[in-house]
Amino acid sequence: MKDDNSRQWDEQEEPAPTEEELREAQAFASKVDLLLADDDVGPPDELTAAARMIRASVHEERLGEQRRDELIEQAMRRTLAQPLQAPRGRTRRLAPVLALAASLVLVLAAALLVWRGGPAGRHAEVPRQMISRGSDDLMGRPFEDRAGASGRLDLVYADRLSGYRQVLLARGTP
Amino acid sequence: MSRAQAGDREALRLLLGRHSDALYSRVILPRAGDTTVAEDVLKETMVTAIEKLSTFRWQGRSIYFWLRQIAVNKVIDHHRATGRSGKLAQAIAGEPEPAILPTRETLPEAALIAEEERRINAERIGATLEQINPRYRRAIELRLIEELPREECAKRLEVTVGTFDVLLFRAVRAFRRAFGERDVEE
Repeated sequence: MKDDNSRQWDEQEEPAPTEEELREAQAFASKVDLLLADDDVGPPDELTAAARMIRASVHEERLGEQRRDELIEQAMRRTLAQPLQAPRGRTRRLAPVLALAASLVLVLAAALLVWRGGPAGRHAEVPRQMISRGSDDLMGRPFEDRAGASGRLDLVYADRLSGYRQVLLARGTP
Repeated sequence: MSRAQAGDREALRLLLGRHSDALYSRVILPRAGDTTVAEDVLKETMVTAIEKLSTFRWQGRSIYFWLRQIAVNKVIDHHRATGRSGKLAQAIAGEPEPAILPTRETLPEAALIAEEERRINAERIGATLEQINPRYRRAIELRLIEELPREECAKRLEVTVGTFDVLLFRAVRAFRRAFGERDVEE
C-alpha cells in the first residue's frame, strides 16, 4: 500500500517511507494484529519480540494449564530420572569386580596396620607420666555426698593441672 | 516445601505449578519477548530449581523470590548466548527485586507480588519509551499498551492507517534499539 499522505512526515526529522519500508511496516502491522489477538505470529523475529516485550509488560499472557503441566513434567523427568538410571555397558559389567577389589584393598590395609602395630602399638611408647589417669583412681566411686558435679570437676582439674606441671617442668622425662 | 525437598514428586509438582504461571507471564516473557524462548527458559528454571531445591533455606518469605532469581538469571544467560548486546542483559540484571516484606505464603502476598512485578515491568518499559521520539512513544502506547485498533490509533494521531503502520514500525525499532538490542539495518 502506498502512503500518499506525505504531508504527515517532517522531512527534517522523519523522512517519508520508501516502498520497501511501507511493505515491511504493513507486514509488521499484520503480525501485531495476530499478537494482540493472542494468535500464532509465526517464526519469531526481533521486532515482534520487542512488541511482545512491551505488551507482556502490561498485559499478562498466560501459558495455559496443559502446556504448563507438560513443561513441569519434562523438567521433572529430566532431573529426577537421572539418579535412578542403572549403570550401563562396561561400567555395569565391571561393578561387582570393582566392589570386590575395593573390599580387598581395605582388608589388606587393615591387616598391614595391625602387623605394623598401629595406633594401639604406638600408644605403649608414650611415657607413663604423660598418660592421664582415670578419675576413678583419684576419687573412687561417686558416693551420694561426694557426687556433686562441681566438686568432682574441681578435683579432676586440679589433678590434671598438677600432672601437666610435672610433665612440663620435667620436660616430659621421667 | 519440606516434602518437596525430601523428594516427594507430587509436592514438587504442586510447588512448581503454583509459581510457574507468574514466572512465565510476569518475569520471563516480558524480558524474553518470544513465547518459545520463554517456555524454554521456564523449563530450564524448573530444572535448576529441582536440582538445587535441597540448598533452599526458608528466610521468612515465599520461595517465589528464589525461583524468580533463577528465572531472571536464565533470561540474562539467554540474551548473552544469543548475541544480544550486553546492555540488555545488564539492564535486566540491574533491575530491583520486588520489595515485598517477608510474610508467610499467603494470597495477600501473592497479590502484592503481582502488583510489584507489574510496577517493575511498567517502569522498565516506561524508562525506555522516554528515550524515543514522542510520536513513536504515542504510537506504541496506543497500539501495544492500550491495544486500540489501527484505525483508531491513526485517527488519534491524525494520520492515515498506512502512516500509522510506518510510525509503529519505526517506533518499535527505536524502542528495541533503546532497550539495548542489536542494531537493525536501516
